[in-house]
Amino acid sequence: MASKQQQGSSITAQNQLVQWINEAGMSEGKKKAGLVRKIIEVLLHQVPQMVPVYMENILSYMSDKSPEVKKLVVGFIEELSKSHQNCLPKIITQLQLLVIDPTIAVQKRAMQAACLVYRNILLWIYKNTPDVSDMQYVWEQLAKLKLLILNLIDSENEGIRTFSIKFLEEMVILQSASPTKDADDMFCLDRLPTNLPFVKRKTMEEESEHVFKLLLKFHNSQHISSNNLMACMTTLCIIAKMRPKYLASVVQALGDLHTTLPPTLSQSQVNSVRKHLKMQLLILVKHPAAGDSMSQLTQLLLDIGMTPQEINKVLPKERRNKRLGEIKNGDTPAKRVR
Amino acid sequence: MDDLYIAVVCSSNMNRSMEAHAFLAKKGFKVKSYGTGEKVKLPGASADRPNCYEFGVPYDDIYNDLLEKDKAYYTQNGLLHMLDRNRRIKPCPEKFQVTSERFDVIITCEERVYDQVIEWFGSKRSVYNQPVHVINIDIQDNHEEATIGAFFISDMVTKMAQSEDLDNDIDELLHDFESKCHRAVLNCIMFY
Repeated sequence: MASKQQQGSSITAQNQLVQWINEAGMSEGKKKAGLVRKIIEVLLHQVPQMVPVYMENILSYMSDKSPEVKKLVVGFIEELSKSHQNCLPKIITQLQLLVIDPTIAVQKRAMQAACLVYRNILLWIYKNTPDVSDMQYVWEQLAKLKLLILNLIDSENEGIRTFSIKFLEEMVILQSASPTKDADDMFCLDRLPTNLPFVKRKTMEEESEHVFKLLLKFHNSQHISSNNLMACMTTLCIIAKMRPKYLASVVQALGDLHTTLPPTLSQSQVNSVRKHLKMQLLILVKHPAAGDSMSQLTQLLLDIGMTPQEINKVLPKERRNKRLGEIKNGDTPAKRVR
Repeated sequence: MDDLYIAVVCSSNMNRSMEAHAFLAKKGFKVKSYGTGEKVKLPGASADRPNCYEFGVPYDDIYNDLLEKDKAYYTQNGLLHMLDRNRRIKPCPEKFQVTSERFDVIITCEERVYDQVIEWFGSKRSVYNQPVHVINIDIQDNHEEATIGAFFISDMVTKMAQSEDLDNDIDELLHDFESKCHRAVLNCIMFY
């Protein structure tokens, strides 16, 4: 009885889908966007078994005039990468095209989705169930997608640069080994299977290091906007927390920034950047990974105007008294014996 | 920019953020308001005895509590009037750190609140990679300043909504705002 009911509601949903698809074909702008939103919603959540049948219809909207409709297609691709991973070979090239779409808003939405799609591709590969040739194809297309977004860091549009920074952060983290075996940190190099000839760990790690250097260079460039400088600062600190092998370079870069701020910033932007630097340093100094760079971090906090007492207050309890004594004496702290 | 989603945040989600919430909502913006403090604090009979409530306690209950405690005093200092205004906007004060909403712009009304917002973002790993502009305008916590502050916030949000590409225009837009309003702002971009 229940199954008959399900079958009935599935047929109703399909009829509704067909009607909306026909209507969308004759509509434009907001009306069309509304219809496409409903089509995607019903397809993914009411009749997901019909995704292979109607997927092409939805993907074809990516050549629509309306940015709103195109952004919905990006959202659809993002969702498919999570819940219908067998579609990955079909959607990866579409995402590439959307990343270089002439409309900035669409480009940014596609770059945002690319981060999630990248993670979902890795999950798909971890499972190691799909056809190897499909995997290889997706992997090659992913490499092209990465290159496209990498080049967008030089875009004339500051917003595009911001999204590129965020994607590059994802690349550095996903393509380097995790120091912990946490279940939360499952997106890392060491989780990748070793039996796939096209997945070359060494190359990926080198790419990660190269991208990290690129981010450092971007962070220290003289003509960076204040917003992107702060975005990049946050990104470097996230990388330092998750991949402590980069910590020393990040602390060095933050120190360099403190001494030489970009000359193009207004006084108010300088205030925001200095404030952000302080906030990021405080987040970093509290993190367990900060251990080996504590002396540089506390020195930097002193340089930006915090008192030893203020620093002591934010430090984790076990480091407090010891640190304060060291700061007062001006000594370089001895490295901890583990 | 279509449907800019705004959050206005102060410490207790009572005065400054609610004044701006009311103002922006009247102008048709999609807006929510929050507090970042540990508790909702309102002035009490003396400076060292504030009235404290948990976030989530309805404005209506707080109104009745103060009414019962000292109707004349809390009418005279404007708290009952403020709570009456608040309960017409939404049911209860909300804590910023527990919301799962994702905004395009978060406006804070005090540097300490701005710090708490940044710290909150710093404590999480971004999942959606969706950017949010966090902007601070210092507003003193009294009725007059809250009114002026709401006006400034509305002015800024109107300019943001008119921008075709906010991520690209934000630096310039805030620079213009500061020169026009003679108020210093802090800003940064964070990710959900």
